[in-house]
Amino acid sequence: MADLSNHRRKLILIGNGMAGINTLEQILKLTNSFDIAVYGEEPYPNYNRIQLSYVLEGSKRIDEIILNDRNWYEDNGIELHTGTKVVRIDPDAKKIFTSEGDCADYDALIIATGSKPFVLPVPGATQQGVVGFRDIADCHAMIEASKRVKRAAVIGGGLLGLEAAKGLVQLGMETTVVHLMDKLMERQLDQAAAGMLKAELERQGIRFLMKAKTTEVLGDGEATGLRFEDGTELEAQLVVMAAGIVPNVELARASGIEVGRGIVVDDFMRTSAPDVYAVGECCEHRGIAYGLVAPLFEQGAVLAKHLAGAETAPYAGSSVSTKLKISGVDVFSAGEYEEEPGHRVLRRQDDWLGLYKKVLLRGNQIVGAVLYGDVTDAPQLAKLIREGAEMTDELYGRLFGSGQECAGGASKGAAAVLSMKDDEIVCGCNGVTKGDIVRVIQVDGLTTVDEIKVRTGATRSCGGCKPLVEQLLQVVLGDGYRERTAPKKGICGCTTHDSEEIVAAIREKRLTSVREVMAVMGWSEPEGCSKCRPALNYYLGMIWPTEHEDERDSRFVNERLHANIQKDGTFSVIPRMYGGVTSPEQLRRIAEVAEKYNVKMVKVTGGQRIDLLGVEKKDLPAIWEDLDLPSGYGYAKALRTVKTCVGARFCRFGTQDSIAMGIRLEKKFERLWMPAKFKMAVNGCPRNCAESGTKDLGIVGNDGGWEIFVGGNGGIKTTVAASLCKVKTDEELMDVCGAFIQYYRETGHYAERTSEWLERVGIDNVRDAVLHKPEVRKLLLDRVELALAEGKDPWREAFSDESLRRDYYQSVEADAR
Amino acid sequence: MAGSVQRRELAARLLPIGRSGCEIGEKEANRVINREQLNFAPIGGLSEFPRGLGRQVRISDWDLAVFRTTDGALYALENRTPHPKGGPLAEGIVSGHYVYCPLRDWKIDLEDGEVQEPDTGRVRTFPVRIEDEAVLIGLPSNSDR
Repeated sequence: MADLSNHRRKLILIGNGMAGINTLEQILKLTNSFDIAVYGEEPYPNYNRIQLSYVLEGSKRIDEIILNDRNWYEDNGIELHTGTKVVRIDPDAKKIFTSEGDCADYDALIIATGSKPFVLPVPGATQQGVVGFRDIADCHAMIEASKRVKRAAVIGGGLLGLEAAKGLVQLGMETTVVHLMDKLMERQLDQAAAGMLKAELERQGIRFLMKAKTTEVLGDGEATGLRFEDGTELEAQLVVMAAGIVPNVELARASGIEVGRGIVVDDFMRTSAPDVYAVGECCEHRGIAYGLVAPLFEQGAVLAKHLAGAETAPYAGSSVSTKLKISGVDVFSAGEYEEEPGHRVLRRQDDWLGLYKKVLLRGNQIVGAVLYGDVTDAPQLAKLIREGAEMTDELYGRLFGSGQECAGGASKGAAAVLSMKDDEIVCGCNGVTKGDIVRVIQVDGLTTVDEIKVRTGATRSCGGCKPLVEQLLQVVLGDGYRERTAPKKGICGCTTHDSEEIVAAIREKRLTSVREVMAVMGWSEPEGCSKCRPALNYYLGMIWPTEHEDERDSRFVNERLHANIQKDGTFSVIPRMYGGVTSPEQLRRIAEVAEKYNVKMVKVTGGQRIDLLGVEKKDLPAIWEDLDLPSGYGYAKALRTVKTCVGARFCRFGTQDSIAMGIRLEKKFERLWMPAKFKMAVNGCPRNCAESGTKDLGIVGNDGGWEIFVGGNGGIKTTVAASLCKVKTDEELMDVCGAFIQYYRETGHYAERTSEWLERVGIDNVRDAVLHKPEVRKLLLDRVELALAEGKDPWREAFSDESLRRDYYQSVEADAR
Repeated sequence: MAGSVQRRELAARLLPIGRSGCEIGEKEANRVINREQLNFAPIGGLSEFPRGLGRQVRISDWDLAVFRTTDGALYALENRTPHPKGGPLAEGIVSGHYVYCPLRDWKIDLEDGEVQEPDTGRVRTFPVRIEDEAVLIGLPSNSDR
């Protein structure tokens, strides 16, 4: 099976749904030896079909049920063709053909085309207004219809039909469920549970027509109602077919692959054609075509291992369990559900609280269960049934209580998870065991269900195991759970993580992009906000100076465009003037540029630079080209200016050459991104004409050396700088400045000025790192050098890069005619 | 860096844009059509609107900000924040289906122009349509503004 040559194998997946993509995810965990292409008919990346009912009822948006966004495909090197139908497979030539006439070769092919709604073979079933409930387009159709028409009929009182009906009621439609049988969900529920369910759904506004056989969809091109076998009619302008699903087998059949009810597969998901596999709802295994999610994942796991050449037990079929996803209605069923002679029945019913629990035994073996109202025990029961476990006194006590304890649900739950073995499955959808979850809580320090979801996949699909995961958190973290999960101050509304946690996670988990940080750390807004995105971009650049690709779109306008936006939407331009020193030639050029572009004002800034104000955005690159001076970063969280006094070169009091030192420092540290803006000054004597006392880093010359002041601020909250140390030589001065800057860069919170930072971390810690521990200083200096090596002049980049110029600086001028 | 830009462009070409953006535009269009006639005018090719950015579009005497979200959808809004002191919107940070005003950090919903709490106000929106690779904006055909 293993291919030992270097030749990469080409894997094609037809069907961009949950079964196929889950298989790919499992393959990617095992091997990277495939070149993968995915063909999907829908225009969306892979989404959580199980949660469509949430989209319909409006509690989730489509982007919230996307499981793998387009970046996932890109990041994994998967070629994605959405909106593309594959029409034929040639198993001999090992090629597929699309409806657009394209063709592609494969070494292995997975068919995961899923299923479609079963449309009743009655007259009128193909009219406008008749839809299924399978995909986003169906959802859209129903939402649109609810805006135009009033009455809906849902054919089918099973899982899908009930979820659709609830969604339609939520959309304000008068909705009737038409069911052939005399009880709802008759393939999962017994009479008692079905009755409780029906009563509850009626309370929620759904109407029911039981034992009704539809014989015709009425209408003249557009549906107007249904007619039943007994001759009665029901008015409905929207008819939802939810009476079952049919595997999508046309492609396989047209390609000569063996098809029964579904595409026939063996225990390794192999079809009748060599190297062609099928998974999910489109396939039929040992005579069964499943329509629920858990079997699809189990099939995917077997197929992934088989394709990757890993050892795997054959797929032997799935024991299925069901959960209904309607808010406020908790129903669960697994295994046998209808009591028969030979069953031992354990039952508890409470019509006051609306609770029902039934467990069926054959002998001592647990063979089925139905829960209504409280489904806390669902995951455990599903597992017991799957394994054919025996009922014991202990288990009985756990499930039904000893009759003496108080109703302490949480402690009962805790006991249940405690007794689980490490290899017991918690999340059946994604195959996550108790051991997996305990590990990420203990080893990786995860403290919330969301974090666990991101890391392990548990709770990601149907969400049914969420109570169990919460119980595990409670048990593993003990009293710390509530404390640690109590809302704390996150860096913005999108997260509860503070800067320290984010920086630690970026380092430890080697996160390399803003999106990845947000995904891994469980951001509530998937794309963040204007507060966290610039912060994350800063932290990433600080931590990975050479690897991180600056994410310009995550920067605030000023840093994105390298100019300072003004209140009228124009910009200001401040060229670099090292140490505040200019020349007649430079001034001449500035003057010419100011005239040429009609600059509204020319002003000397507080930091000894010249500011050209009122420049149109589209003129920025041209102005910079004409100026031919580096960017002064007057807009950035970076070194702004090094202000200097005249110093020893001209001043009769000067003891040090402050101008030369200022220029040297500015040239050294310009372009370095910082947590906040960073201002410096160098003075030639203690008279301090360039005001070192209110700078982030202020230097004062004296006879025989320099004194370094830090953490001053002349802004909102004026703070006088503290003396850090005195140094004797220029080299030492450069080293202390470099180490100090890097220490601030690494420990400062984004947007935290040095004055606040110094108060937070304490000057003793700064002295320790920068002065007292030579080995630490050495490392800080090495790292600052690494970061400095990356700096390029952004103005030059802008005017010499055509695409930057176009995408960021030019507006579109169009004519409406 | 160049490599990654190329890759992104390639991906954008390979992956047809999601339909959701267009649909929202169409829906908006239908709503507006009931009140007034719209004239869909081309403002350029799809590739001129990089994802995750806003772009100023001047058309006739309209000043618009056109945003393309990371999922590929396009939105057109009047290029002015509803704050009494105004200012352009096109330079804002785009996150999901929101833009953050570059001057005062107001959060504005791209789909309906609604300013999010705690601030209030609404920015006028315009329907966007994509035909082949061309981007069209629905503008009122009379002088109704």
